[in-house]
Amino acid sequence: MPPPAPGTPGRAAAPATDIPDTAPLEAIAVPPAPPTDADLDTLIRARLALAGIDLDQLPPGTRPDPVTGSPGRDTVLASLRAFLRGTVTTLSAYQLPVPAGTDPAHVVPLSQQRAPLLYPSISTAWRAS
Amino acid sequence: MTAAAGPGPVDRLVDRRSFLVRAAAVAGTTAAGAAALPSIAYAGAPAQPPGGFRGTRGTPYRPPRPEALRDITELTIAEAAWLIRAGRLDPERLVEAYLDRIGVVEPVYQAFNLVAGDRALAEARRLGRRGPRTPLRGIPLAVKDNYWTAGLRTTANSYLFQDFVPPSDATAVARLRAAGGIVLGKTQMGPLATTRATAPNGVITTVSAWAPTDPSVDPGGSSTGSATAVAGRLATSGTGTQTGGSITGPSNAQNLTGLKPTMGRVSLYGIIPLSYTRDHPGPLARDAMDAAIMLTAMAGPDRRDPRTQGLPPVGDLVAAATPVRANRRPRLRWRTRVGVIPGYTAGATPTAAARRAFLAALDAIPGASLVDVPLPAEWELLTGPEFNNVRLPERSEPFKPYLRTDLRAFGVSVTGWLQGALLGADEYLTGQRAKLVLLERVLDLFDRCDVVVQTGPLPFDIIGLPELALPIGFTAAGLPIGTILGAPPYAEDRLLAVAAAYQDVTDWHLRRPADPPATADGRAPRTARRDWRTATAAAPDPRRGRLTAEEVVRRMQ
Repeated sequence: MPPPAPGTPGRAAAPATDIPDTAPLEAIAVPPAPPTDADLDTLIRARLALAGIDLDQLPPGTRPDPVTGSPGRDTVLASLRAFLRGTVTTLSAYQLPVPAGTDPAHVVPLSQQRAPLLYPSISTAWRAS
Repeated sequence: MTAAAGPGPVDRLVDRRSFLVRAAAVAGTTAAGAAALPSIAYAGAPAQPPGGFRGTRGTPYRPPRPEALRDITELTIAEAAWLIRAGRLDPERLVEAYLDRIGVVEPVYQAFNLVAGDRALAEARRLGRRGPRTPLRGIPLAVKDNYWTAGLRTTANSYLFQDFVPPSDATAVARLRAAGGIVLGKTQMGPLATTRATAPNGVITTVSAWAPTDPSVDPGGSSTGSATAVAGRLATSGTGTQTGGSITGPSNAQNLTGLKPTMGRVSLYGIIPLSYTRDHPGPLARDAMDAAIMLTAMAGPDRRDPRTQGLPPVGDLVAAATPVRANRRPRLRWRTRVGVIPGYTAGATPTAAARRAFLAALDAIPGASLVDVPLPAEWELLTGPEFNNVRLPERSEPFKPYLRTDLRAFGVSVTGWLQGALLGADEYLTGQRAKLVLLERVLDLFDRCDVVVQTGPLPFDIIGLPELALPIGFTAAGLPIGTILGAPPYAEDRLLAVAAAYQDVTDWHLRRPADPPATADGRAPRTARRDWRTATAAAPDPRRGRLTAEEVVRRMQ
């Protein structure tokens, strides 16, 4: 599918820039503006709603439910915003390490080679025959 | 109580590097479609059968100390087993002694959710007539309330499971019972295994047996009830689960020896999940030998939990925990280099002083040597709160049906489950990839040492490595100080050998808390004493304090 033309509805137009076509990828990456609290609240409610979870099950405001102790939805939203800003940002920024002295052009391809392991200690029992 | 050193520990019989070599080989051959399936090549002699005690080179039966003969609730498993095997102690009498004590002190400790006194007595009568020839025969146990127990409610201290009666025992419980263990009761825990034991709404229930009048003293993580029960002499030994320190934490806080085994050593089948890749079942015990006996019964492959299959065989844990003497002097069973990380003894606190004394005592045992080891690169980052949070989707996913229908039923703990539902799959994968990086760096550490001291449990919880907690002293206020040793995969035997040698030259592990003041004469206040033959816990007392949802987020494992 060809990319949509600049200005297509639903997609922001590319900003005008003086960066030459030959510049490294990092140089033309424009960091997005950090999301506001309102942005995150919308994200949180929408993501949970997609999974069928309605935050309005919790008490309104910041007062916990007197019987169950479950927190008010404003308290939960504040905690979830902090979680997204801290955990998602840190994990997303992490690049898996490569050997010292690796050619900068090879850093990303080499960092891609490390596999995920749910149970790393168990993996040590796998043996070559 | 001596034994020959025997074969080497399991950690040095497994070529732990082979996986990395193998991974490279597979990567090279997969493109050509010629990769063979991985297989296990274990270099050692066969260990004992899973969950069995036959063939051990150790001594799981010990003559009791005089103080334990005066009060049989003080007996260790090994001591009680010695008496039962000799026909000098009837399991029914042992259960009755615990029920009597529970009747006196449980209103203060609040260690149990449920005491199955009648059932335990019936089991004890049966086992008194005939039972398996194991050291666990007739031993009353405290079982954390997230382990399924057939016919007994299993609540995980949550509204979600308040009426749940499991259809079967958890594999670990079934194995303990098959070895002759008696489920005396189900113990209080943090709601769904998140924090110290509280009611689902955060009201504090269980107190430390070492500070029964002060609920603000932290009795350790979510296996609190088991710890208080074992330390307070309400059961001979207990079970816990650890996702973020909940075996080692309560053990350190209550002067016990706790063993969190390698991931997969003990089946998780029939244990209410908190985090699939991080939950570890294991024992909280009074000393290294009791921990070895408990883990011997609990460990081994289980067809219902694939994480337990294809692993090196369980070592001879009882032999590992049997002290070794040379010319009547204690020595280590195997030469062991104890790694010391930077800052472990730093400061002027009682904990720092106890750690220095601990290292000095270890260093004086023939066969032990101390080596300074550096912390792996990116240690703070890869073991810090954000990478620790990678576990959270594992609690959200299996609880989706509950999250959709009744958020309030999660009580004070709900926030962690919602956090997990927000983490993206790509961030989750980054976390799983980082685990291998962390593991490789920790394995590099073990090129320099065989065990390593720790200042916290999380790093080895993240990558599933074994840890042992043991007592090393007390504060001026009389509260226990403990420490944690970590080891490479499957090195539970090495950890037990170090703990056994240390406990052979020290007596911290033999100290017990005084009875709660109101019951110190052996009688409970008239209004407090209860008959616990078939009883559930009393309603929690809000005067003990209450954790808020914000505190739970900060403390949750």
